[in-house]
Amino acid sequence: MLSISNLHAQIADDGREILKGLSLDVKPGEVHAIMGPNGAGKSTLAYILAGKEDYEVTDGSVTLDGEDLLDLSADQRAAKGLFLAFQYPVEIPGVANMTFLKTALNAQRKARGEPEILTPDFMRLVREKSALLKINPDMLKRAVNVGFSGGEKKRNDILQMAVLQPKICILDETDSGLDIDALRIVAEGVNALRSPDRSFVIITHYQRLLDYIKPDVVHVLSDGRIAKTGGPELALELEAKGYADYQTAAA
Amino acid sequence: MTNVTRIKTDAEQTLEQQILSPSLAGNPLRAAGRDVFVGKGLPHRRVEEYKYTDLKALMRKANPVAGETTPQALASVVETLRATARAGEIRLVILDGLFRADLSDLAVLPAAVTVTSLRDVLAKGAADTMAVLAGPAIATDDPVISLNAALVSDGVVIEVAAGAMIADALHLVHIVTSATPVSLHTRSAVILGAGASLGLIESYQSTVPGHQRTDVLNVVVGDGARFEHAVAKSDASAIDLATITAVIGADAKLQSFALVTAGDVTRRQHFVRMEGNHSVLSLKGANLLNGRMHADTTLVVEHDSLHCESRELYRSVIDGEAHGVFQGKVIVRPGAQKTDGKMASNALLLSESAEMHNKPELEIYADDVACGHGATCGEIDEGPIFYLMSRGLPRPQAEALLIQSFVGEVVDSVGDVALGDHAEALRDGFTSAIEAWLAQRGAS
Repeated sequence: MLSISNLHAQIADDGREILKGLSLDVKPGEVHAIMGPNGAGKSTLAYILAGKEDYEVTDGSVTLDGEDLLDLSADQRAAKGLFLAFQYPVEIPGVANMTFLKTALNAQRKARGEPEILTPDFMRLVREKSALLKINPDMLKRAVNVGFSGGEKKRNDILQMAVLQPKICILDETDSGLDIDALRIVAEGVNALRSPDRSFVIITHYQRLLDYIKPDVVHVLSDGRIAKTGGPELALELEAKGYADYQTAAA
Repeated sequence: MTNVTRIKTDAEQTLEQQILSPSLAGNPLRAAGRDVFVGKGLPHRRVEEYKYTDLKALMRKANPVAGETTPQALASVVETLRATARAGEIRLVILDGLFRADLSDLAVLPAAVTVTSLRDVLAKGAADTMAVLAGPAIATDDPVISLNAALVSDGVVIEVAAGAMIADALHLVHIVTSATPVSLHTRSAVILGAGASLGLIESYQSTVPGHQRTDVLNVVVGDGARFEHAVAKSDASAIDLATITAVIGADAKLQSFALVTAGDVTRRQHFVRMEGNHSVLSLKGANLLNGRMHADTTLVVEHDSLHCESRELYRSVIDGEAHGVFQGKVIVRPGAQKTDGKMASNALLLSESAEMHNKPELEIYADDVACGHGATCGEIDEGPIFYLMSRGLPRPQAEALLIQSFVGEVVDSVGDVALGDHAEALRDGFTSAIEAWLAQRGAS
């Protein structure tokens, strides 16, 4: 499904290389966890996959179901089924959450040549998904993420994911800033979306999130490339021993 | 001081000829205006208040004064007015510079409201009304008000009896039928008795671009009265100089909002005097500029009473080579204690050559007040853009959504004071105008 091969990327402004030959293959239905020390390039990987323009890919390829992603803009990638849950979801004052969800869903449908969703169908979809994520109807009326707590912002991002129904979901440190209850709700929301044709890449510092969302494969990202790949037991090993074995001079 | 002869521009010479035309002889406002204008001419960049809106440079030629409406044009206006009548508003029509009682919805005017043409008011010359038409002292030195006084053709004087709450909004419709660019100079007044309430909408219609207009609206808000004013400036005029003056009594409220989406050179200036205690003033507006548009918002707010609140919030969105200007001055007179003033001008620059000039000023002569101002200028934030794009919105749509939310905040409060049932339709109208401006931007 998602195939990353020998990816090299740098910060566009200063030419600092962050990814140094990263390769990764995610098959349909799989959940991959990417762990690693600070500064390893985890968030950069998430942003590059989603199409943020602050980075420049100098070598390698990223494909989704065989289609090249790197030439596409962020919105085109979203329409192809890629979703990034942000470490820090952005506040959009003046835009009602509900309006935003509908605008986003219809923009993606339009890009795929599908008709706009009918309002009753949309309402039903949002009601169902927000109940699952314990999202208060009041949050849907408020401006996107404005005045939301950290946990509400993360749940709101997962709600967007549930409504947009992407093929590949990248979660960038979704666990950061969450208390244990919020973490459980977010994890349940993600688990409810697991399906044989939807894959996940979960970027996290800590093993804790992986207690709730069971990964199939765990990678250690260090100094811009995958340093080690293993099963769920690798996460436990990291939790016990830390990242000392993978620490780079730079970090 | 050396004695120099002022070189009069082409426009100034034409304006002087127009001022001296015998057809205006019956206008008692004219004398003062004429002397000021003939003495000083059009304001230019060395006049502090016009530093960023140099009318001498911006107004190369003066258009001929609007002439009589042709019978064909009149028939078409009658038809349009019939087709666009809406519940909840009472229209007062100023056609080609003249108030037209015959075209206005006077039949449905509540008894507590008196509407008189400016010409009739000037002919009677009642001292109190004449004082209102001259405007408050803070506004008298303004050269544009002088020009308007010298050339004014007509307008409408609206009086609301004490205690009358007018549910339907009045709608002052300015229509120009001339097929060639002309100039128009109109002056109107709104006088609200104690405890009265009124909403006033203004709009502009013209068949060709390029008109030049000065318009003055003098408002008196009596004790305990409420006045709300909302303007959509969407016609492609060459020069549009609109002045609003207001004197606010005690325990009163005034709110004014303007949306500017068209016009080569637009200046909207407000001179407001807070005369009574415990009153509230709210001035808001949004300017959406593209091409080579120039739009200036100039405010002078004078606090001369206790416990008054003033809020000024303006949002500008500037694209192309357009220029925005915001000048806001808040004066707190000695003894105007407990004044609470907040002023902000925020601009979003959408292109490399877009320009915004912000000049907030506070002059405070009282020691127990809370006054502040803020001015910002910036580009659209890339963080929210990426967030919206990552959810599937193409960049132009993401930008449009953020621009809408940026100006939406000032539109939201339209109707808070006295526009009654009409407020929602009005807000929808403003939102559509903003969407139309954005669509035009997307298409170019």
